[in-house]
Amino acid sequence: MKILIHYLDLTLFFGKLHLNKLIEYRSDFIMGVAGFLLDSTMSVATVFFLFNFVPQIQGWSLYQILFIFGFSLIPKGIDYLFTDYTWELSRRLIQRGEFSKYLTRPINPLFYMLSERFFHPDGIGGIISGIVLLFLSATHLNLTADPLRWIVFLSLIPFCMFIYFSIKLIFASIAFWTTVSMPSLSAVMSLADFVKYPLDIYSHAMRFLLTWIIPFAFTAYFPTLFLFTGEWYYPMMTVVISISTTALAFFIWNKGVENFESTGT
Amino acid sequence: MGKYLLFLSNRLQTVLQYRVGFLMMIVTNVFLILAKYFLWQAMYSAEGKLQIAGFSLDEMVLYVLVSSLVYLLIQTNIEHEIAREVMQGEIAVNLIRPVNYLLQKFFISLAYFITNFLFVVVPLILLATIFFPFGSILSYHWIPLSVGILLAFVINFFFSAFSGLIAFWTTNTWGFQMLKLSLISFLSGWIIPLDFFPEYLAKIASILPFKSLVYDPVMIFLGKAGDFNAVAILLLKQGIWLALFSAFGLLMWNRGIRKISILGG
Repeated sequence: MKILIHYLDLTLFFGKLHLNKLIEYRSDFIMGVAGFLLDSTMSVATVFFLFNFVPQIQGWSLYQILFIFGFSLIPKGIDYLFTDYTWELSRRLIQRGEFSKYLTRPINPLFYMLSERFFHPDGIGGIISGIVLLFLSATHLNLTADPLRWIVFLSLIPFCMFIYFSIKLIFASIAFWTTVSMPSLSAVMSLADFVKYPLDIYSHAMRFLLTWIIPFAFTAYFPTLFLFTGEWYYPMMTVVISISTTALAFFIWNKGVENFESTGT
Repeated sequence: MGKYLLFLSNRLQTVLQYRVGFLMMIVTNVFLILAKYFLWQAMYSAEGKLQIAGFSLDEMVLYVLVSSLVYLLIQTNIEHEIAREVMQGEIAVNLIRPVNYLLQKFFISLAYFITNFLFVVVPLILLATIFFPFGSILSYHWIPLSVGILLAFVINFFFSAFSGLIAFWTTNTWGFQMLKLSLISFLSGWIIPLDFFPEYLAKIASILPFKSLVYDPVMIFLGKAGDFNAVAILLLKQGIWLALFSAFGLLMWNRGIRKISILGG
């Protein structure tokens, strides 16, 4: 418990540090916020633009799609808020030997590495636009699911976030052996683009890939499907998938750190 | 000229070191193209529509393919490098060298253009011709497309240069990069063709320079940009933007380096 509070303290401390770094450059920060607002408005607007031309896509209405889209932004945003620095592991931390720094302090190395970019503003914006979108589309859809379903649905968010994070960590950790793994990481993460839309618009091979190989479908589509249909299989699988990908990610990360120590690079 | 070619060949050698990177870029782009492809297919099959916003499904598939490749080709990969050199003061070294800084960076970014073309775009075109039967390839307008891409690349080079040089004034560039990225990805027509925008937004986009990066060259290629005169006017406009931006780039550079002596580099 004491350790947990200690880490919460550190999270706040490092988070403020990073945020202050960005806010310090005021004009740049304002442009960044403007860019972010433009980006999220336009990606939502794109869905509206498409629906100006068709009434539904594969049986999905505008607000159903916006609901999935909005939900997908929340775990993604939380993940962004805390783990964006994973990208640097794949890009340069091993290549430039900067990683050894994270092994020299009495903090968990993974936590210490991620703390370099806690509270990244993109993440906060993503969560806010996700919530707004979810609320907006839920009222339009007149969702009358019982409260229990809503509670289960919303409590899936951390599990979705961990699916997201562990996929990122697995492919970033490959850098421990290959020194750089950014290209493969971006290839895998580009699959996350698919989850904004319902899974059933994709081909069988694509669906299989997104469900069982790189399980991004569990970060938005399946949880939403549970809310719409009440099928308990989906939240159960989401939890199982989340726990197993997280376990795998930590396992690979630990092996990677061991490997890094033994070569002394 | 010779010394600039040296910068180019130097960077070519560096880029060619990471050959796995090209393979992963191919995979990334296949995923991104497929994501759009399935979405459009679902839209067209929605009501058995043959035309949406003036595009047939075949034309839309081609638009997705070609716009993705154009977007990939115009990436200069130079903005972070320039920003870093300005922020960390390394740029001072370049002031005593008998080379033009922007020209040097331009030749370096050409290395990415060449390698992306040979090792990513060509394989993607081959893949595409295997999986999508396009009929006669020669019926499309390859020559104006190539001219358009080259001009777009130079224009985008200046955007990259601006987003790096702005560090002279804003010190950090996170925000401007964010703004630039969201402006380009939507207003260039990369996410969806501008024909899907509502009228007021389409008007705004047609005044701004971003559409000459992706939308114009691709529409010319598809033969949807009008007759010979209309195409000539579009290319001419691109040339005018280019002239304007290069003048602005020079101005920014001259102002910027004066700033450096104030800050003491």
